[in-house]
Amino acid sequence: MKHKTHFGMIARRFMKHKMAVICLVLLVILIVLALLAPVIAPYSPTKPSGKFSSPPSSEHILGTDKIGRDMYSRILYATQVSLEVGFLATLISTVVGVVLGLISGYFGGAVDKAIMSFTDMVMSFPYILLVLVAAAIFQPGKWSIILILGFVDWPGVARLVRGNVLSLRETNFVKSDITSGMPRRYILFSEILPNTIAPVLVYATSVFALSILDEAALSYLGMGVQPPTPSLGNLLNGAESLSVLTGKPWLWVPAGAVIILLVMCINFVGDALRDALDPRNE
Amino acid sequence: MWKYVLKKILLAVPVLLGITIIDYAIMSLAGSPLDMMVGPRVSEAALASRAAQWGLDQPVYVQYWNWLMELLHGNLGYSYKSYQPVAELIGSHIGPTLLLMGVSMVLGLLIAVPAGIYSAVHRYEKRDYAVVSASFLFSSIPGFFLSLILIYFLNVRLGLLPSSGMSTAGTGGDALDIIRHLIMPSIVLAVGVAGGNIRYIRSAVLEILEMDYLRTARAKGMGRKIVIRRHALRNALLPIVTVIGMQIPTLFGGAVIVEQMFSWPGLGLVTMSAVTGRDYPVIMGVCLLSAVVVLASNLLTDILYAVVDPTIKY
Amino acid sequence: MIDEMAVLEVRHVSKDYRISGENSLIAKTFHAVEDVSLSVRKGETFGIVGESGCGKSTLARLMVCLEKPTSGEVLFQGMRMDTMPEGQLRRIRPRFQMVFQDSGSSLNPRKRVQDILREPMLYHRIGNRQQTDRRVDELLEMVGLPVEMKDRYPHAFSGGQRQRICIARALSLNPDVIILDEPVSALDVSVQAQILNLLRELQEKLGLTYVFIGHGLGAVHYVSHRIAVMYLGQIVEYGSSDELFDHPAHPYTKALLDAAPVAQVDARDRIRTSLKGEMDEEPPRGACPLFNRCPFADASCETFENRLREIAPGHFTLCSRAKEA
Repeated sequence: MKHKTHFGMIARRFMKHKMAVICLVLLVILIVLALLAPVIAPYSPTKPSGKFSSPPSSEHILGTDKIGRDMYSRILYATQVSLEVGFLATLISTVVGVVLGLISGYFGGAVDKAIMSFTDMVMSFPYILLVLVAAAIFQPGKWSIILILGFVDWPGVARLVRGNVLSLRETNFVKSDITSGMPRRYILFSEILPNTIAPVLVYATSVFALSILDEAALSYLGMGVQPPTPSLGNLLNGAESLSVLTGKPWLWVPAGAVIILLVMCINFVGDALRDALDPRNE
Repeated sequence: MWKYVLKKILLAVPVLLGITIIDYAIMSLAGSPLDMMVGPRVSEAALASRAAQWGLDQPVYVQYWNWLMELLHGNLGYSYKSYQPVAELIGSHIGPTLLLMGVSMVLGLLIAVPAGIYSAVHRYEKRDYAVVSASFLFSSIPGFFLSLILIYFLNVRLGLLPSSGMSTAGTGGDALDIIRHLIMPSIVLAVGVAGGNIRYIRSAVLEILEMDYLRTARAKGMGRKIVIRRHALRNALLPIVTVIGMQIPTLFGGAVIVEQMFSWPGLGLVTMSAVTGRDYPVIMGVCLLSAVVVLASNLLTDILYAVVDPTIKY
Repeated sequence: MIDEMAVLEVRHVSKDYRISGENSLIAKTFHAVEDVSLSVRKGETFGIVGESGCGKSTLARLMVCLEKPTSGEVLFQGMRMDTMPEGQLRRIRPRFQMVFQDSGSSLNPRKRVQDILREPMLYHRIGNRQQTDRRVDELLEMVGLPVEMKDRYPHAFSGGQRQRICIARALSLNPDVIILDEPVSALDVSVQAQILNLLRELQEKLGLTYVFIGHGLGAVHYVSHRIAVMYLGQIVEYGSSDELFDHPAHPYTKALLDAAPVAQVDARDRIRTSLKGEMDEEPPRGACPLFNRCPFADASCETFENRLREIAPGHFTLCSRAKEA
């Protein structure tokens, strides 16, 4: 009789959330489409290919923008950029947060106090202000945004990891490792880390969702990804003008819709992931 | 109890200090506000004298120190742009922001609390899924996008509500007028507030509903609604209280964007222009204020925790 | 007294914890263990019994070097453990192992049993991959678990079975001493008996030395050769298991014995020693720790020197009023 693997159990529990499964599938489709943008986009996102501001037609499924660039292609590339920013920002903040949280939680003492004070400072700081100030300061662009968002999001991860490490340190199985004479690096990497990954993963999905929203907002305000590189945020910028807002919905509504779709799917998946990984459900 | 409060305040001061240092450091990396002034008509000498006047020719830490010293005397400095005292600038604009944030918070919670409770009570039914999905939707809409949509429908198409400013130009700005201007921006923010909180409250209520002592009450024959109202609500107070504390920083962030969208004359608008204009004193003033607000709301949350939860020893 | 046959010894160990009240800026000290001296002989089972909060778990942690004593010495085979450098200590650790009370939290829920058992052996180079694999099978058999379940996760086992796994893990490193901190307290009574018998068997077969910590005098008496009774961080009495059971020489020991439910009908009329009030928050200084609650206490107890007296060969008590045999 084949026993259940840990991973299998988690996957099974995840599948119970039908909405999340649908969202996961949607998400994968969107990601694949975005990644394949260079291949499937009918036109170049930066070079004009049609008449100015023409509504959707058979040649341009989502119409063209004010310089005549194909909107559909632009959205494909924009999705790719936004996903890229969100993913990298999440990656950076998660890695930094995990490392700092592990060090802080495991070694304790002065190191812990120092790291935690710094974390408190960044955390207490009004998020948006830090982002705005930093965005206005550094050369706006894709990489600045990635780094800024990465810097701003790590405290949550660090706090989470540290809390986990502190409570795991007190568990009897870690104490058994100590009495068995196992070295610190074993305890840290083989016992503590695997037991911390689950909540970190869940947290990371919410960071991912938030990063996408933040990038959109910043790019909209002109402080994020700069044109001509399309991002879901700066595509919406056109709507500032009244004529676009009222008369040319194809220029801005699709981009907004994609953002909402992406973020919703990520949220649903993250929520289901949290349930699936919850040890209380075992 | 007061020793607890005092201790927390004392701990907060170094954090505040640290925040201001980080702020100043980041800002100084930006480049000097003088860059904003460079132009064909501005001479080197004029720039130099301006620099001296503002103390920009000194090293960063000296500048920071000067700022700190002035602060302790109650002086927040003067805006580089408008020469207005920063304190005055902030003071005149904080009202609208507070109004906006307050109304949005109340509105958001008015939606979230009943929805969360309703959802928890009807757990796993279709209605629960509907509410939770709606809550996810709310959390997923970017604030600026929702603003655009609302403006499109309610202002452009239907002409029902004004889309900028706090009061119609020319009029004195009576309460009704302000309320009309307030509606759209506060809806946008309230949606954000509701989105996250519905789920939070739902899980808090669920936890309470599952507690044993409630089962005992039900076993005693008390009606379900009474049980919920009397027992569950009282214990749900704690998470709701923490929620309010945690909301404030996020709310302020959202307000900054919303104020831009609707030209609402609040602190957010001031901040945005200060940031793009590299108006150091104003930026520092706002940063300081928001840091104080965040720390204060954390402190408030901690105190309320200690008051509401008798098991916390202080 | 220096015991030549001592495998594990603690000499005048104390452990203090600093608790700071948020209310006062002065830190208060909690004396978890006060001036305890014990020596455990090779091949015996030394029982430590007492109620919750008496310091027995702290003493266990000190003995296994999970914590350092505030003062005093911990010795294993004559070597000072509390001052040994960490690298050296880690190498000797396999020789004194510990089994905890809660088997559920003693095993990493994300690891398979075979890995839990194998990894320490591999690290300490007890064998190569194949040898350790075989050894895992041997160990599981020794503790009475089906070998086929070695690739399962801990949650697939019952409480009693998990405790067997913990015992197997303790045995895997070929220890000389195993310290068991309330190993059966969390298990059902029928399972308790099984585990206790298993422990006895293993001791005979492998020549192990045990330190057995518990709060029920009955169970501790069943497995131990010698017993020490603890109250408020101090040892109030110790001696051979039977001697303590038949001739308790301290009111606290008597109270513990009398409090245990007894099946015989005629025992209902026996005179019970009952203690006044609840456990003190702070022990009375200088006097016997039971002073405030002891029904036999008098003025002499307050001034009497707080030191264990030998009232019969190998039988020591703190009570000033116990008569010498």
